[in-house]
Amino acid sequence: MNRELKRITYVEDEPDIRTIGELALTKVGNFTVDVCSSGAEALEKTPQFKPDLILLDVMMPGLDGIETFRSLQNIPETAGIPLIFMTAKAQKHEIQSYKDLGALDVIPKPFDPMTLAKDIAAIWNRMSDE
Amino acid sequence: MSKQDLQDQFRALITGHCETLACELLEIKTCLDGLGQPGVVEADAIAKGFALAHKVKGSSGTLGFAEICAAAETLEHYLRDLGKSGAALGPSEREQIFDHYDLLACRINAISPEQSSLFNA
Repeated sequence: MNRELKRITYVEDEPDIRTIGELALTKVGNFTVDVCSSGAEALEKTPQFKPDLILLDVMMPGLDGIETFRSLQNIPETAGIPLIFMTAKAQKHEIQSYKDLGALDVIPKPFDPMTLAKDIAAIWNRMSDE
Repeated sequence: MSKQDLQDQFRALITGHCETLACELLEIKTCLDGLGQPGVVEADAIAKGFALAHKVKGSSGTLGFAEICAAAETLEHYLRDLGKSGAALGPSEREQIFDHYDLLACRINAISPEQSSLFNA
């Protein structure tokens, strides 16, 4: 895949993390970002936004990240969109279990806002090279 | 947006987060104070305390407060393990919970925006 990464749906329930993540993606990374505060909001908005990539928090009230991911896979417009989970549970075997579910990769939390965009771009480029 | 504008936005967020942490600490204290009180289901209070500590860990770490993040993680892991064991709390477990809470409280009460690693990023 040689498509350029431009549009990201970012899903995070914690307001301060969401704000700094949005700053990191838009101002540091220059991505076009649609921010969602819940899994339900992501299910509603993502089909219209048509992102290149979804960045999804795992531990959220209501629909958690895993349930949201599964639901997104069942929507024709969003099925197959590459997805990265963001989670504190990022030991090797845990990362593998997320990949087994179909995720592209995992960004460990807490993340560094200054390197988040670069880390995502690296994952995207690695996928493109495969 | 200039680097200065971005730094200003980071600093505003960090400053606001200091106040948020103080509120979240109060929530944790209220939750933990309920342990052993009539009408409070111990497992529920532990699960809530775990979720609150997890929240503080994630947000403080992302906002550049590594020491607060570490203290929140210690409390989070202790409450998680207690929750998994399912055993009733004894005096030593309660004391340990509040030791972990006190360390977290000490760090949050001494917080200033300048302590964040992102303040001068």
